[in-house]
Amino acid sequence: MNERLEQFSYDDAIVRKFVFVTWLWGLVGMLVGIIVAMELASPYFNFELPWITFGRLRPLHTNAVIFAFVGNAIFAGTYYSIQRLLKTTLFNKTLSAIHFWGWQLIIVLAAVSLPMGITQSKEYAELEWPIDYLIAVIWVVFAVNVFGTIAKRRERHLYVAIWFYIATIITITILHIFNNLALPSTLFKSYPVYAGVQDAFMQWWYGHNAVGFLLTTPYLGLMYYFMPKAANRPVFSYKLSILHFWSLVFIYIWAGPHHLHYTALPEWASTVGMLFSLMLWMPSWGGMLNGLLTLRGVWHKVAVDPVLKFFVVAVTFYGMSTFEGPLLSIKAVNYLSHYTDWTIAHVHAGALGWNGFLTFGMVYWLLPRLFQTDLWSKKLAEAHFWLGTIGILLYIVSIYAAGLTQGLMWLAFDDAGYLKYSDFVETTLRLIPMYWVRVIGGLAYFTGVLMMGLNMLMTWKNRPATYEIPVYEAPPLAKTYAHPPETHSPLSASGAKVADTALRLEHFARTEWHRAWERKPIKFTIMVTIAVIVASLFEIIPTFLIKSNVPTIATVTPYTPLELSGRDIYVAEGCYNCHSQMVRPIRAETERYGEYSKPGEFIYDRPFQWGSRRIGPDLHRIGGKYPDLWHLRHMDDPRSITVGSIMPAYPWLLTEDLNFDGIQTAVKSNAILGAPYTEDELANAPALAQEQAKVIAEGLAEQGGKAGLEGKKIIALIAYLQRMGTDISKTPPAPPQAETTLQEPAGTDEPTSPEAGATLPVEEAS
Amino acid sequence: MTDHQNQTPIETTEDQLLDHEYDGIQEYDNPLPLWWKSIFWGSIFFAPLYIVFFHFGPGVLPNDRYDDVMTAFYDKQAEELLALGEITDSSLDGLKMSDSMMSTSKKVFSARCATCHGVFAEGGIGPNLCDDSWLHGNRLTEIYKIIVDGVPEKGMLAWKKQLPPGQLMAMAAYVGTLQGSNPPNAKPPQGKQLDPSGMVVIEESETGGEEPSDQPMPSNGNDETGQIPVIPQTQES
Repeated sequence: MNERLEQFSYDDAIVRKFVFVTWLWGLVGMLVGIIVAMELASPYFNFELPWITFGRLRPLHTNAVIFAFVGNAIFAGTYYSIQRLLKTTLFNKTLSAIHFWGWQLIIVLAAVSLPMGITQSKEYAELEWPIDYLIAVIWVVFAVNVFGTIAKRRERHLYVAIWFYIATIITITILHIFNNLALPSTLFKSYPVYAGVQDAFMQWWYGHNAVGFLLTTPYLGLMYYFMPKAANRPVFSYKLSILHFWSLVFIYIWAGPHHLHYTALPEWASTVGMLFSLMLWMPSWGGMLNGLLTLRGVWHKVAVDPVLKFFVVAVTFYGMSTFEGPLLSIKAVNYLSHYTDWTIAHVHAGALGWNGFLTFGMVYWLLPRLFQTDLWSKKLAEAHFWLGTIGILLYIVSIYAAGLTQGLMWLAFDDAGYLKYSDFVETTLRLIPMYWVRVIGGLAYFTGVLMMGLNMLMTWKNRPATYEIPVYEAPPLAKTYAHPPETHSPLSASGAKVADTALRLEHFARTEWHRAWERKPIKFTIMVTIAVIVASLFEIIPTFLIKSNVPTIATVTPYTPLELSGRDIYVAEGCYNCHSQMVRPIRAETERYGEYSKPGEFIYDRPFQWGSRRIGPDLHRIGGKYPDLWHLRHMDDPRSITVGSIMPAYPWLLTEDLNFDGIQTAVKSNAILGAPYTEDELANAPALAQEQAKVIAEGLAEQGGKAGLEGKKIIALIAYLQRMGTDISKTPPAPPQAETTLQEPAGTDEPTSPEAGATLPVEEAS
Repeated sequence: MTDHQNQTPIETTEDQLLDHEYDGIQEYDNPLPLWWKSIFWGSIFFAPLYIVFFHFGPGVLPNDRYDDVMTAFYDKQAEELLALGEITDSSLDGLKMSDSMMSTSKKVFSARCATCHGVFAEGGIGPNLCDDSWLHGNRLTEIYKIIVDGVPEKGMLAWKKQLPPGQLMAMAAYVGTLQGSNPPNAKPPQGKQLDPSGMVVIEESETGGEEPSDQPMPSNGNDETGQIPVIPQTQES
């Protein structure tokens, strides 16, 4: 107040860069999305090219959209807003540049490595360990830049948007590190330190919270800045900001296990996941309320301003998805929805509606400010809005229908009590028309992004010869904070004698304690970290320490060297993108696939391959179900076995050589992580693998398959597929199963009564 | 200093502006809507109730529910099986007379069996079912047993979980009707050549020797009769 004023200006050049790549990678990510959507509608679009098959390309789509499109948008919006909210320029220009180029390098590495089949196979954490290190470094650069900027601030208190940025930075760091703990085996391959149930638990702790802290909290931060700016209205409620921020940050972390209902995850974890998901509903909606109610009084502006239109639809979709999330987390709903397209529709309502539209609104608002000229065409932006909205609706309506259809068909029994659609492919074929509608919806949305690109280009062309860099003035923060006179509470002002506790409660309710935290960024950050870590540890520690979570099964042994390398091929080809390995304890599933999956079966599974979507059938009990020759023909040309199958063909597995020498390292890595391999396996893995491969290949040749395959990848994959889920039915003291009632359906041992003739009540099966 | 200096708050009695602003952004301090607070606290209080009910009370958790459902199903199936009476060569043979049953079976065959045995049962991954050579015997009860229990080591599925008991019987009868149909592209014979009349003639006297061992019938004489060996005949056991 009495000090000299300091001069400063904002670094918008870095924001311009991030805005451009947001658009560019958005375009790429969505284009890949359209390609994978077409591959589902017709397997022809896989073109039998390894690097664009669905299993390899789908992770590229998700990673590109989440980390490249949304990621860059977060950086653009954060860097633009924190400078202004803190009245200072960014901490360090070099760090900004390292951040920008480092992140783009990561994206390029992802775009190259994923189609090559270099993957950890954990959803949204597919990138292999060298890239993970790079991500960690660049993320820390971002963190230093943000916290450095906070340290240099000329605004005493942190605005709510910055709370959300802090939560994002802290939580993503923790999630990224702990989910990606892995033992590198080669430069391009690692095995996670967790196995089976625990790996699944960690992955969905990560997967769920990556959605929470990369797609939700930073975007709420952006909303809290750009929405009131665009609407020119005060935020609806500061109280609500506080309550929904802290409850969101604390509760979100717990909800991860709702991705694993009915699986081999212990039931208590599943229950915790569901209950916290329900609690998460209102904290999530707090953000929606603060967004929508901020627009009170300016709804007439929404009708004419494309930016506000984008924001309104974005926040609406946010509200819809965050209602649907708790809904899907209810076990009884998950029973129907899990593994179906319902989940896909849900995430796209969030990604296309909330993240996409908020990004577009933000970019349209930023363009004239960044390029210091009018937006080239408001009409084109309007058209983008409407085309995008239609695109989202086509996408989600068709895919909701697909999800419900498939879920209901999987569960349907006929009157006699047998599966009504026992051929999996029947349920797939029913979805094809909806898959085409999705392609159309995706194209509409994509076209909208192209239109935004044109608008961006033309606006950029109209920019001034040199950007004006306005200089602002503000006093520096005083070394000590002069408290404003404590506003007198009505309780003390009235002079009445009240108990201390009442005063304290009153103080708490007036949120002045929080106001104090807002001027202490270190304390604030520590509190966020505590909230996140405490919630995590409450779930993680019991999952790892309670032995009864994963009861051991005596007959479960490590994979043979050949099977292990077959498993690595399964992982590399991304089979988990379409096939689960988790039969749930639901009769419709055990009838279709076999005995439900037990936690003890997965102790050597690094990484776990439970999957999250059944575009094809579950594979956990595939072992021994079909002859080797079936698998050979099926992998070579799925449609020669199953008419109408949408699985891509994998002819290259029949021609590419298996790297036998590499198997030794794989076996050793797994042994280090705890798989009890024998001395022989640790010394002679390649020879053992060759032996096993020879037996399989000879068998195939005898059965009429192609000869001379013993050195090819397909043999290892067949070995793995035939092993999968079979350990549990091996001989040692087999537990008595309920199945015994079925064992002898009708006493074939005594076909003696000849007169039991033609009057049998026989069902007419469909 | 900001893009918009002229905030135009529309004041109501509710809206109380706080005395701070960030880059021109101001905040009200409105109270939270009652419904918001109710659902929020409600969802928190619901949690212990749910836990007590399901984990410590009468609630049924998924695995237990699964067991209940399965028990109910097995009871129902056992009843059905009792109602079907005994299964013999002649009872199965009698089913061939039912046109509706055979046409249904034909559909089931093309949906389920054709993948391996060929659309016309001419053979493929699995053996030809139209000739008079058989790996596991050619009596209808033998065929029935193979359909029910499968031959897991060779990839023949056990269909007992996927088809109703009556349909399993009808399928055995249907396979009987295929005998001698001579489809195109037939797969070379496998197993032992057996008298086709064995498929229709019922000789009760023989039935005693027909142990339904869990092993596949040792009916293959391992005949290297010059044909391309397609499926290995010898069982390791």
